[in-house]
Amino acid sequence: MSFLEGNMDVLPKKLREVLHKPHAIRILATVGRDGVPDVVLRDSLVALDDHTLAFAETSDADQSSQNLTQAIWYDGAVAVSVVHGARAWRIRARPWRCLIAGPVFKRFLLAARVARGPDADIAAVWLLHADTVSDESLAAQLERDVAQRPFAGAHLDCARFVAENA
Amino acid sequence: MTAPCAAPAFTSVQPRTVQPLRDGVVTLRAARAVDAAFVDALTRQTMLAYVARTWSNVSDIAAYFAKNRFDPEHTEIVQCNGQDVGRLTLLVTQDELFVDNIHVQPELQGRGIGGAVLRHVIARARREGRAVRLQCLRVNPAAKLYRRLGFVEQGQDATHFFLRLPSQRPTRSPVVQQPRLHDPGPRELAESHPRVPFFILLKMDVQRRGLLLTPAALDAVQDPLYDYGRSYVIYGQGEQVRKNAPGPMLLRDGTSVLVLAGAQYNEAYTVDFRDGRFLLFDGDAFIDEVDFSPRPDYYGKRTSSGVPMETIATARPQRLDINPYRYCHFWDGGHQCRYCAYFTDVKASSTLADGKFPRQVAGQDLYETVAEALKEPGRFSQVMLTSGADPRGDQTFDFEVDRQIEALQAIGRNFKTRRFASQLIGCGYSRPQLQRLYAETGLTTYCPDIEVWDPKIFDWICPGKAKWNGRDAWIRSALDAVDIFGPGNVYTNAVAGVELAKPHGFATLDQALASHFEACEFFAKNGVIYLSLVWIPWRGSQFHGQKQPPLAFYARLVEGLRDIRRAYGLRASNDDYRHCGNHGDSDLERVQ
Repeated sequence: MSFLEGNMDVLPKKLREVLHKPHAIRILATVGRDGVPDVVLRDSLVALDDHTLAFAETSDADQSSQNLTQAIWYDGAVAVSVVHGARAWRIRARPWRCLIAGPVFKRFLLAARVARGPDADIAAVWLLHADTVSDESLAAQLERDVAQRPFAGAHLDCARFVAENA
Repeated sequence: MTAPCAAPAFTSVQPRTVQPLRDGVVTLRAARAVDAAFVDALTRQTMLAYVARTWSNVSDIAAYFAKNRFDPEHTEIVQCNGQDVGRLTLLVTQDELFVDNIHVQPELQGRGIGGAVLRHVIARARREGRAVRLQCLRVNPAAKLYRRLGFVEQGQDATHFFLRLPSQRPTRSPVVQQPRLHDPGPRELAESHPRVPFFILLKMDVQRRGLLLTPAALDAVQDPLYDYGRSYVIYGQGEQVRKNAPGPMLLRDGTSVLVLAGAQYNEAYTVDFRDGRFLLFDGDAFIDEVDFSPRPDYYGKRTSSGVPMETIATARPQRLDINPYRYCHFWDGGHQCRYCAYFTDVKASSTLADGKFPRQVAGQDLYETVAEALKEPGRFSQVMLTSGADPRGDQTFDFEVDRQIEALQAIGRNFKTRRFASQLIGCGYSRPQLQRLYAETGLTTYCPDIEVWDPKIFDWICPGKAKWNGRDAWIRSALDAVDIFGPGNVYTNAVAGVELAKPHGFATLDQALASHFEACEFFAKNGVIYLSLVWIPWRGSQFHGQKQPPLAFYARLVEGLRDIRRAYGLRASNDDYRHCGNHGDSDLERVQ
């Protein structure tokens, strides 16, 4: 852990691999000053390293950009959900940096132009540091549920005894 | 001056950053009575082995621990990442700081925490011109650390070394000494002005106070990624060297800070380079990680006539700044604005340019430079022109207007649309001159800077503007421009704080703020965006050495200006955080 990065969680290797797959679903959730949530797809979201997520915002005026700015100004959090097939992760993160120029910015811009045409543009690349990462695949959720509430979570019809020839 | 042993070594209740380490941020907080158990247990943990090796008699050992018991009056708790990890007990006398005890939990030793705390003490001693003294059990290996930090042995007895770091009076001050008198800084003001975020307060404070690079940071900006070209850079304790200077500083939220690295104002911030990162410090206190604007691709290239392109256009993060005419005729006869060091800066920079540095930039050179700059994907989203004032011509400023039209036309040849995102900071042109600018070029935004709103202070501070054609004409120019360029596309800047300059400026901050708000309201009613920038008493200006207003003034100012513009539905998107880097109030408008 580096002193500037606070108490960050490590992005699991499998999650980092999934974030390189084009068909993974990447959802960014932010919240405005008024407490109103905003949820958007962010296809460009990737892991830059073990701790850092990065994605491009197209416009400063977009609600997610506004909320990200608000979050970095006032130490607010955002949430990211990544889904790929049966695997899913929930990440709580904090905006760490807003890039408006430089090598990383250029990389995202060029990727946007490959994907959307030569006139595609981006306003900024945001870097997030993950506070917590949890495995949200169904199996992991059930496992957690059983471990935390062994007799409270499941409906009893799932546990009923059924005679073999009934 | 602190009375000998009379006051706590530090009196802060809130933790203060001592130094960032690779594994955490080290801070100090004032000790409280409840810390007694922690401190006494820590003393036993850290010292028992050495004490037992030093004395075999139980009563001697007990006497040692009794002597070194918790002393809340002179003790601070050392924290790492907010956790209590050690203690510092410091006694202050007229001439020295005596480190009575410094302990770090055994499992955290060897990570630089003790060294960070000692360096903090040494820095304080240096500031206050005091020596630092301590004593150390002979068997304690920490003696090596003390010697590494410069302590020298003054003597020894059977059990202790006596070490001393001589008085650390600074040999050379890197800044003009203007004590801040405990003015609140960005963090404190972010709490009292919750609508002005810390980043914007920090930006304005860095602009206000200046920025110095440590030798490590200066080395780091020699990297081609940061190289903005050769310049005289002041670094370290005030040494000057001709090396590559960085471009504008960038804060983590993307805010650009237009500040010259090496500029010496008032208690400048420092940028160091550690573990591959640029770190901003205020004195010893770590502030935040920062970066510098990356070097644009066109830097280092030349036009077909051989002119280095970076001498034609300089780059902010997303803006090309072009100065087609590098001479201000207001300086002829001493009519320059009193805060201005423009001419002296240009004179200095002309000696740095590679070859001749002509007053006027050729249109073809402008065209080629912009063409080259635009090859870099996604780098620039605006072109800004400014130049020295030139009142000559049949009508006042005709020469200047002709020159701006020629420059804009040359630049405009690069665009497939007639209009391109552009701003001209010019003099107060007449309506016919403005009509020509709009009709004959692709210009989108015009900015005749009023600088100072109050009529009497305007005349005193801006004698050139007062002479050619006077304050009312400059205001009328802005209002006329709204008819031509449209509401929200005309700006005017104020050099905020200069209206308080001595001897003829406002007497109070409240008077100055009232004047700004009156101006902003007047212009906003008429569709003009009134922006503020931080006054810097530049070396070379008539106001060099004058005292700037405190940061709290700028916090109140930007908050008020933003509110007024918002009430009139105006937004300064042409001068926002990604383009200009000069205006805290337009940075605020990033969030609506």
